[in-house]
Amino acid sequence: MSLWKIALRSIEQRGIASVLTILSMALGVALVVVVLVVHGVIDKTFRTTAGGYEMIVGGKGSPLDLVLNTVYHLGRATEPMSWTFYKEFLPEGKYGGYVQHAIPYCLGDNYEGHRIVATTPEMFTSFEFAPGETYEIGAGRNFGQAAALASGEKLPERKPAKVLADDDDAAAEEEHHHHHAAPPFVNEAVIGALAARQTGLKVGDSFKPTHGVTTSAEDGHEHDPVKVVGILKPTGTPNDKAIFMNIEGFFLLDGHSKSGAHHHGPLPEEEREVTAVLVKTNPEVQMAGMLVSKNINEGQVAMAVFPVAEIRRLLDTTVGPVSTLLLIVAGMIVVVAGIGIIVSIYNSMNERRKEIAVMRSLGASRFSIVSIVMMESLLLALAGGVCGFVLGHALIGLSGGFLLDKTGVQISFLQFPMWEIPLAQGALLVPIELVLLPALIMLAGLVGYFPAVAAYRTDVSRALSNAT
Amino acid sequence: MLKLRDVRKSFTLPDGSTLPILNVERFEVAAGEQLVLAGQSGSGKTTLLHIIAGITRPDAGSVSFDGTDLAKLSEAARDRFRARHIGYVFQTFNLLPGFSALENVVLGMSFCGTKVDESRARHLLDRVGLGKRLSHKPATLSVGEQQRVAVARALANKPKLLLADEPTASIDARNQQQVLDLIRETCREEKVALLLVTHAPIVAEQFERVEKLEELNRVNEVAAR
Ligand SMILES: Nc1ncnc2c1ncn2[C@@H]1O[C@H](COP(=O)(O)OP(=O)(O)OP(=O)(O)O)[C@@H](O)[C@H]1O
Ligand SMILES: [Mg+2]
Repeated sequence: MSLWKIALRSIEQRGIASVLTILSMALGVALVVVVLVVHGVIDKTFRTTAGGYEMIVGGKGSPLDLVLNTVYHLGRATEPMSWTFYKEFLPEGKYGGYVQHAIPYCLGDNYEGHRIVATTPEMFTSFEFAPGETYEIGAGRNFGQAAALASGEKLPERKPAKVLADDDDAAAEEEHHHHHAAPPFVNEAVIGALAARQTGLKVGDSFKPTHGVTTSAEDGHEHDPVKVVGILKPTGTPNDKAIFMNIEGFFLLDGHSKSGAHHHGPLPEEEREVTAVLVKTNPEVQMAGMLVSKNINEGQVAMAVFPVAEIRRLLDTTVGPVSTLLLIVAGMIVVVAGIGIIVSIYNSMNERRKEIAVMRSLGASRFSIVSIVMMESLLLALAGGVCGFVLGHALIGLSGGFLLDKTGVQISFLQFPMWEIPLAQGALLVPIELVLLPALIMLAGLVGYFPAVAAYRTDVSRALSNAT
Repeated sequence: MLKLRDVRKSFTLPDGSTLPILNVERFEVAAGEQLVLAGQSGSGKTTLLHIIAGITRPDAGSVSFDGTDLAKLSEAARDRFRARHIGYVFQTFNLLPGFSALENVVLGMSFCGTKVDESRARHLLDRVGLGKRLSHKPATLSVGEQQRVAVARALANKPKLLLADEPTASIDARNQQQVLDLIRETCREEKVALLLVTHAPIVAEQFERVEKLEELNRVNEVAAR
């Protein structure tokens, strides 16, 4: 019979005490797993989600709010900028030479809590959502006239103009008529995979945007219906839960002109505002990003923010310390569970003394006895570790929905953030949780030490005399 | 086979004084022999068995077992020697409560460095009449049955000597004789020498050779001198 089996029998025999010890260890480990994985996933997602652009330009205000708003669809709305400023990023504009792509972004509406991003069709053609990964439309097509015509749709026939349209009344009549016939292909939207699943919207469906970035906004004013023309394939980014609509259509919705006036044709430029401009700088111009951002930030109109740097600051100053604190608490629970193992083994030392003496009488060496106690401690710790690992991932799986809602970070039951250990050649990728294994083994060794010493010191002769 | 010469043992009491227990000039057991060691309570019988088993090291003298002096071996070597050559049966608490009857016997084979022979364990349990109780835990066995498992376990490694410290003292009178017979018969079959400690005259009188520890032990004469 191997020493391992003897240790296992000993654990079995102490049924309830062993189960409780394993349970407390499992709780501690589960907490460590949850903190490590959730923090790992948040950290990774937030650090890597740059969306193919490296700079965001928006109205003066909180840089972090601007980043959270544009990249993660989170947080408070930010100050808008004028359309004229956006035009500086176009090829003929002031920054045109420094810029490869500049995509306007208008926020302010939602549908069933999913933020509506008004932008241009180039959002999905100019940017990659991750290096080398381009947006793909799973069902339907991109919004806008070009995509519609490319997919074989026809421009609607123009209604013949009214013949007698020369007095004021007739002009007013025509205005009214136009209100019902918006320009073609502007009230169109492409929605993220998750948004499609959660709202149940399909290609061809129409929905009415609500004013405000969240459902709880006071101004719950409903707009004209917008038609879903495409659904994006899942990207694993916060964009999955967003709804993207044609910016031209967005400007025509009530309350989206600067002055608040009602317009029917394309909104005049002086009435237009944008929340942000996503900028990918021209790689052929050295330091383009630095130059442009410096120039913008010195001005009074807008600010330029680098999302990666902004998020890194957030993680390092807020998320990181909170995670560390949680990790310390979880670590303390594990240590307390370890002390539980000591207590559990120590409490049974009296009955154990006789068992040890019997085994010694059968020829077991002190070393074997010490090994058995150490193995017991190790088995308890590892059993707790395995249970905690499963429990932790179950908790992660269960809280995935909540986390997705709050942060747009997708997390699943079997999520293993990796740790990169740099080697001489390349790097070794190990799951972060793997650090738990050596930690648990060390803890088990430490914890087994005290009862092992007691076992080592057992006076066999005396224990046997007491038994007989 | 077993030769003790001038074995002395004293214990140090908590108050620092020494309490001499044993001073055995000469004690021998031949291979396959069966004998009783008798003596008053507290006379040092158990202590002597511990010394023979290598559990306790004597203060002086030699414990020679087929030419090997146990008193000169290290503790680890004595453990190994005990595992191979000596079986031990106590009055009570022989069996580990967490292990089945079969596992207890297998446990007896686990510390001598050779491969566990489970069929021998089954055979021995069958021999002591417990062939149908292999998977039973000690708590579900009667005291007599527990002692029979202990006998099977003590013989598991084919030892040369079986030490039995009042093995039948806790068993009721009817089963006492059965267990005693079983011990004697199996020792004969396995060609194992038997050194049995007992207080009961009814047990002692069945043996040809009965040693009284008071006669072997000269500790009191020495102290008186
Ligand atoms: N480890 C020890 N430390 C101190 N004294 C001890 C120790 N072991 C035994 N003794 C003492 O040595 C004496 C002999 O003990 P032992 O157990 O050998 O007697 P015994 O003949 O087996 O008695 P019994 O018939 O009651 O079992 C007793 O007085 C006992 O108190
Ligand atoms: Mg005794």
